Amino acid sequence: MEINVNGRPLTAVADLSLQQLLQQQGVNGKAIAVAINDDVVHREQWPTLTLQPGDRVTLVTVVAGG
Amino acid sequence: MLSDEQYLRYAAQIATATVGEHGQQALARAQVTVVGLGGLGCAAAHYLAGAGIGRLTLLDADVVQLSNLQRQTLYSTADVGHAKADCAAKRLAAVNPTISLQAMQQRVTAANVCQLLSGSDLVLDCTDNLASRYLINDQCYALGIPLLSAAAEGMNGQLLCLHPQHAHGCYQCLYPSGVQQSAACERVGVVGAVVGMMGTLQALQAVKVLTGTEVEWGKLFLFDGLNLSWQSLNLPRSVQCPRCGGNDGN
Repeated sequence: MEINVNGRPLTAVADLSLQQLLQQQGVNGKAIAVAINDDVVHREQWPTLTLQPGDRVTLVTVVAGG
Repeated sequence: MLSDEQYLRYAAQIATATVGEHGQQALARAQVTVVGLGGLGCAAAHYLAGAGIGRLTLLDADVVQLSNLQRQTLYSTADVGHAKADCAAKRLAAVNPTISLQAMQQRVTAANVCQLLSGSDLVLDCTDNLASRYLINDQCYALGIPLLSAAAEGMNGQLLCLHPQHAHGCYQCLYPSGVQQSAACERVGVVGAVVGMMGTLQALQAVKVLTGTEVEWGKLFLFDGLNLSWQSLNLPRSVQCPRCGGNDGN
């Protein structure tokens, strides 16, 4: 299936969980927040949330500087 | 009633539909606390003082360093080595001597945060570290005070507008304890105009909140300064959040 990660198209296998996607992409889950289709997904939901074709995944880097 | 001087001083914003005469009076009655007087706080506090916020409290424990001057617009080279809170208050008093300014050379801690934020109508989180951000979020939720939180690094900015009386998530929902912050500004770098813009947006949101203009609470606004693009994300409550979770969480 085709999904989109931070504005870039990505081909992913069916039934992929958000957690699996992050692992595949080598993302440090402790340094980000994640949204799907503009809704933030809390990390306790990452293992059970199955990505759907066309999903837009946004990885938000933890930014605390000021 | 506004004085003749107030009409003159604030004529440009009184002329807007957003502020108007009633809005100007509301700003004059407001008590706003700005925590952190770095790149965000300098920009935010400058616009808030100019706008005529009646009582403005400024908090920062640090002294001005030469490397701050690239982005911290309230300070001059002669201020290096002096307390930011004092320098900022002096500069802002020159901008607008008609408002009440309280400057405190203090860092927020678990022991003092309640006392420092109590009585505020609105808090602006302009700090540069996660520990302070959690403390401020927790205390604003405990006291029921709306919170405008911004951050910037590199070419990127984030703005989060939180209202404890609304059913959206809080700072702890977005970044639960245990997340990792990248290095502080001086190591990861930040472009002055990016952090200044985020602070300016905090001031803009503050004026809207205080004048009763509708604000999108519970949204995380992401700014990409490289491409000049924006994205906004909805932040729902987390049932596991120790601060705001439970009712309406998901």
